[in-house]
Amino acid sequence: MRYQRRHRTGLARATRIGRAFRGLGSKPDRPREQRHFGVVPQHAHRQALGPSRTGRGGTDITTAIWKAGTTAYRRDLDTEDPYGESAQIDLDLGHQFRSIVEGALLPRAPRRQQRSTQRPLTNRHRHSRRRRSSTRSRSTISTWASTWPSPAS
Amino acid sequence: MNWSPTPSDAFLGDVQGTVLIGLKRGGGDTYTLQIRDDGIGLPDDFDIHRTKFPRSDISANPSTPAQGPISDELRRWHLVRYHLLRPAVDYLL
Repeated sequence: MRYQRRHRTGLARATRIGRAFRGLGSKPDRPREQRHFGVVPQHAHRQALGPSRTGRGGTDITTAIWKAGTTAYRRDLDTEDPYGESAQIDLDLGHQFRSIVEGALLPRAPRRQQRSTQRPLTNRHRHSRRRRSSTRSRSTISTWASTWPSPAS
Repeated sequence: MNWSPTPSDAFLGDVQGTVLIGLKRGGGDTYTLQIRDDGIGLPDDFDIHRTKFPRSDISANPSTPAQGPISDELRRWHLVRYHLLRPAVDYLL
């Protein structure tokens, strides 16, 4: 009985994780406004990431990327290792890595305020917005966005 | 960014390989989601900041076998790390 309950709970979690990350694919099968997460975009004015100061690689590099809110891609660690992290990551994770993609996964902010400043809504737009805002995922995202700290803080 | 890597991009067609997914807790309310695979990797001209391409472009890598396991000579691991805060982890779990 206890095992069956645990098994069902695990299956439900796995299903939920799969649904939440489905929107991250290159060809998402859901519209953009229904996706729960997005990767923080790279901005040109963001602080450029420097080489590792401690020489340890992984930990301080990860922290710097997280605080800067950037996306980093190390194409081929055999030919170029800008942060000196290759040996440490191979040691930590037990594999020989060629590439690393790194970014912050944050909920998307609601678009309601952006639309209100752009142009007046027609009746058709008002109805479509009301339908979307009544869904569970929409309200969840709004709650997160109001309490979400800035990565730079 | 218009595209983000997923395990389904690492193994096209009948290519076989391994995907490891882990969630690691950092300091405070920070977490790191790590997705490792030993698939084909990204094409040489891939630019993470402006890329928007279909999967067929990835399969243009000439060193990738059409099916079956990837040989040990070509097998290299690729790591995707996402950083999350506690509310996102609570929602997922």
